Amino acid sequence: MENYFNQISQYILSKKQTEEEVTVTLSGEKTQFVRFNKSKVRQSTDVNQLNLSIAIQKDEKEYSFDFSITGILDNDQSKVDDIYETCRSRMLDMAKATFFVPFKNNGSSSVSNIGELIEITELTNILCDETAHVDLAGILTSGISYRGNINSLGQSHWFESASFCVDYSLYSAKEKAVKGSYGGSTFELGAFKAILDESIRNLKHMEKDNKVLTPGKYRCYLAPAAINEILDTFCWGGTSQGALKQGSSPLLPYENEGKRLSPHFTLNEDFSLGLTSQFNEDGEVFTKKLPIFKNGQLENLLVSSRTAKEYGYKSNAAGAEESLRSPVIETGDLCREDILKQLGTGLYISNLHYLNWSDQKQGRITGMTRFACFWVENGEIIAPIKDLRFDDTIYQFWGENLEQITDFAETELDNHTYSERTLGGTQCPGMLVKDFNFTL
Amino acid sequence: MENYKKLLEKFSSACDWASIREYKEVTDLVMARNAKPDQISTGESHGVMVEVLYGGQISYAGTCDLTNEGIQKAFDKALTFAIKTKQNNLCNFDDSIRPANQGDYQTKTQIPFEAVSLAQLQSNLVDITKALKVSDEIIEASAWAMLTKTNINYISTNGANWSQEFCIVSKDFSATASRDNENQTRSYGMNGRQLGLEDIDMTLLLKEAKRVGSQAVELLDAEECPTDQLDLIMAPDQLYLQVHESIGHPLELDRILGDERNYAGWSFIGPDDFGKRQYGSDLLNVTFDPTLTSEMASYVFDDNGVKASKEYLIKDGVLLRGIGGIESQTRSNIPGVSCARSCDWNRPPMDRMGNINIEPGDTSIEDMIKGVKKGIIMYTNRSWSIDDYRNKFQFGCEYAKLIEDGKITKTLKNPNYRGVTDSFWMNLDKVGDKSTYEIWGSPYCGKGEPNQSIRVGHAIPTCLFKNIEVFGGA
Ligand SMILES: [Zn+2]
Repeated sequence: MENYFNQISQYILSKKQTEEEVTVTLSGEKTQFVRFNKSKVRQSTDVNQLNLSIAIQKDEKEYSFDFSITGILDNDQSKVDDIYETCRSRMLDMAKATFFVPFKNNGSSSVSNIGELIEITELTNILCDETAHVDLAGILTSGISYRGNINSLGQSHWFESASFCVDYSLYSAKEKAVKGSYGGSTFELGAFKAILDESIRNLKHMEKDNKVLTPGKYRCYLAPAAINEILDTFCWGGTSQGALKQGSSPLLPYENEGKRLSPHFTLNEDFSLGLTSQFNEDGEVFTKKLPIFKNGQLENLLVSSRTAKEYGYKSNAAGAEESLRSPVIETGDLCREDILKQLGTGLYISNLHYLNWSDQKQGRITGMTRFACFWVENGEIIAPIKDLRFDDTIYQFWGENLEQITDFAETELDNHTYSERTLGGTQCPGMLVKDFNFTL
Repeated sequence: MENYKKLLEKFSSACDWASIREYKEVTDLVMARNAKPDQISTGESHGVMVEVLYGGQISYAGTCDLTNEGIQKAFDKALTFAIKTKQNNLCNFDDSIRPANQGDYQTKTQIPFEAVSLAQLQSNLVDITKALKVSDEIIEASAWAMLTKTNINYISTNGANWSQEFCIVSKDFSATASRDNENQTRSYGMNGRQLGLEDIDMTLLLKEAKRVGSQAVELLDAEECPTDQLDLIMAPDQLYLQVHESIGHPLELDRILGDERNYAGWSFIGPDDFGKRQYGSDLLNVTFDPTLTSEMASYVFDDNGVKASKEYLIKDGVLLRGIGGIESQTRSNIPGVSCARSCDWNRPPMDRMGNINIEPGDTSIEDMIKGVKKGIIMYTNRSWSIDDYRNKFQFGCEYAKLIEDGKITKTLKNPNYRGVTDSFWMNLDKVGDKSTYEIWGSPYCGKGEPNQSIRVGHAIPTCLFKNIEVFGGA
């Protein structure tokens, strides 16, 4: 595919006139999705998709056109001819870009993480057989994703990665559920069975009647998957320098008034996770690791070239959204065996669901507990809980109420598949938090 | 279509049934910020989805390779999967779930998209951002519009042959006002409609932009929303999301059947609730209506090729029907509607909302306010969250007014409310008349594995709810 991308890009660049600069991007995948309900196949979809984007700059004007291609050179060349002409004619009466950032040569790279994936029908039948005795709902995703970026100034980047992921939940007859996932580049039956067995054991813990708690403030252990949900919401406008200038950021008091989060809290953009390309949509290469918060102190926000131009900052090669693409929260010193003891009496929360800013400017997030969440007394799990809604601020739960962070972290692949498989992921530890606020 | 017909003739001997759905969608996105042009971009998605019925199960393969060889390859992949995993099928369908309908549909437009250049559209948006800046306290003013044209051609081995063309305009604009480290944002409210460029009515939009800008500044002086149990009047630009989250999603039959349990969740509604459950007060009348011209999800055929018609989901408060297409109806024996849709060529159809509307009642907005001793009117959604069974919800709005003794007295900032679906709709006390009825729609309803973001419409009157838990900011 890298060769094909080079071929079609060279064809596009050959059409360029002297006063034009052009960036060509490719995003594609060959993926198989299998959706399960009751441990059977509900729907299966094979997807072969290639999208090309041509961005043209001329006279400080910029326009980009994103389109599907077939992967067959003859067909795609004539498609490119049409699109290039459309772009040129539409750009004639367009205004100059307000914050024009000319394309640059941001270097070259080529990363290939291609392993041998197990054949999809074989894997599907294994999953159905191994889970026939339980009620499993979920999705198997397997395939290769491609990202490419070439421009007329000599820049050239390629990233490809093959992976599979089984994302599932198990349900008991009483509608109790636990969540699990297993993914990577090589499927090992033993490893999958071990994860599945743990889910089945956890589901047994859930069989007791629910404890119904009244809303209020509770001491909580938030497991890595729950922290990942909070981080995901925080990334939505939380790390953006542009959002701060435009008045929607929760971090205004941290930049303007010198407020600090907990000294335990350190958050980095860290591409050493290797889950996604280090270059953004313009081919700018982000540094390997950038601290956002260090021991509670705001160190950096993400600055795209456009925001840099508009507000006079220095760009750190963030994407246009200025949101973290590979965030890592640093671990602390709470070991796994001590979690329940240190929690004492309170809630053990494995997962959270449907989070949203309830007041973004004030740093407040709301969401629900989901899956395996338990009431703990004196370090012992007593019963699963009836679900609760929380509504609390990052200033509190990542600030003065953050007591301890686990000495281990879990890598969560971003398994969203809106339009295409999202690349990237996060690495989060668990957190022990006091007075976590529940409202419903 | 002739070419697809020939391919299907070839496919038909190898499987029980097959179809080809060609999907092409072109979207222009135009933006303006702070009295200046911002980005313009265009996206085009074009491919085919091949559906193959074999051994009782439908397998799908989507490809952007539109050559005969490419489509043949997709067919082979879908068929191979169906053959090799046959013993693990969840469902056992036959071709009665894909009726042989024929016909076509086209959005009614007055001004076609091509009539105005993207540059001209952008200059209109620049004017809107100028109108938004009513004072120096506006630190950010932005506007965007998205023009989407979708063409679907569907043909099957048992004689289905239909086409649909949708033209959709989505837009929003907003202003953020700032004073002493406090920021307040007010927006028009993201809305999408099936219309041509007549939807960009500049006389109206410039007037609205001035209102939105002034209200952003007004919020800087407003009191915090109180924490209390009060009467709550919801404007359509908030109520549509309440309907979406706490009526639309829980009534989806694929959720009730458990397909969605690993992602969006299950439902507090069970199969036995249909035909008997009192979902809300007897003023509540909710319809699935694919026939309302200009609403986002109006169509003649869903993506299973089933003809769509207006149906009552809830009548006089009683739950009658689910939001489930022909596959879910077959699996569950629950009455449904023609709502199996997919968001693109690369995703299979599943149960989606379409247009889910509240039928207007007979109370004018004046009478509604007059009857309130102490209450709040909330406008324009800014925050939403609900649990995986669609019960415990919390919503936040941009702007509110306090009502005391039947009169509007003050503006309130940071208004929020929370509740539980199970009892919430029983508190519905007044339903606004036709004059309060507005057509809203969102291009972004997320669901499904693999994920699909789809367009939904909600036509909604203003409504009054009794005894709702309201609260203010942090
Ligand atoms: Zn939705």
